[in-house]
Amino acid sequence: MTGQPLISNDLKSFLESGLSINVASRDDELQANGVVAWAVRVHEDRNRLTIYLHKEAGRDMLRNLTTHPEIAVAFDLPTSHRACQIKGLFVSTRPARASERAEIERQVDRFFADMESIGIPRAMVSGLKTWPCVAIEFSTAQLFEQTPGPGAGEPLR
Amino acid sequence: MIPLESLTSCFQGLLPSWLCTCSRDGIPNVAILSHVDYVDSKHVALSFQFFNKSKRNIAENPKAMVRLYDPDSMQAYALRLRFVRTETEGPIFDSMRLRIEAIASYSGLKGIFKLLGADIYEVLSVAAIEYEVGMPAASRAVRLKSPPETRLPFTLKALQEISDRIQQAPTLDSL
Repeated sequence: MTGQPLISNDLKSFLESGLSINVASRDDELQANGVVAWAVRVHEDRNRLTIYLHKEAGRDMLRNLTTHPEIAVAFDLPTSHRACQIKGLFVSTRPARASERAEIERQVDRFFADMESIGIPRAMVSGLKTWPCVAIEFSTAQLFEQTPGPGAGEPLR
Repeated sequence: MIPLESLTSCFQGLLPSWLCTCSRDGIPNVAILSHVDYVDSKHVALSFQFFNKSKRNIAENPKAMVRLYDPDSMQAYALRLRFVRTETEGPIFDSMRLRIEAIASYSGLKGIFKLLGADIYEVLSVAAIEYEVGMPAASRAVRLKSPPETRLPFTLKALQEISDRIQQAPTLDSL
């Protein structure tokens, strides 16, 4: 094992740019469950991520993750269709800190701006609960291309 | 269970949905889904366009979960599903194929989305996601009472109203 970071500079910039983020876990019966996340932070080692979910969405996910740590997170930019999926293992959770709120709101604002550019006005999303959040840290294991096209589903290079 | 018939707007394909599946060895997968179709009061059809990880997971484990959105309110719904069969011909397939072509055309992805099959799923449960209410109820109520010309432009309801006006207008001048 070379210890090479999985997440490149370009990918880090993309992930933290304000995207549609969807998280999946599963229960004892292999029933998958999915929720939305509002922001992500790529750790310095480029092998761990922390995603931020509204506390109620986090509750749904943690019900599974504390028993079955396998997690999948998909990132999508609606205007360009650029998308990827990162799979890994749940590490830890904590309440999001007040100091993290500004960055979470920045990413949410960028995502809403992207939605606005394709015809979804801000008023249509003003009811979405984006705070308080839980922070869920996970270690990355696999990265996959999900941008529509011939390479979709292939490992991300 | 929320009746599927009450989610008609969600099945228009105006907003993408999200499909969550799980392999037999317990690895979840989440992928965007262009279209979910209403079949009957207990079934929906999901578009099968690529033989991808979602499809491989369903072959091993028929359980799935779909999150879809009402384009008129941005209310999100969670549907728990169980795979039944794939149709590669017939009215459900044909209807879905035409809808996929239209979605691909206005999404700028023409030629990438080719329908291989319509996957039929039994709907086990439907729930409104309480923390994913796009437009607050008060705003929705105000919007529906306000004059049509002041409402938000991009809604399925607005499109239907425009279509009704065009259909009922006796002359072009009266529009």
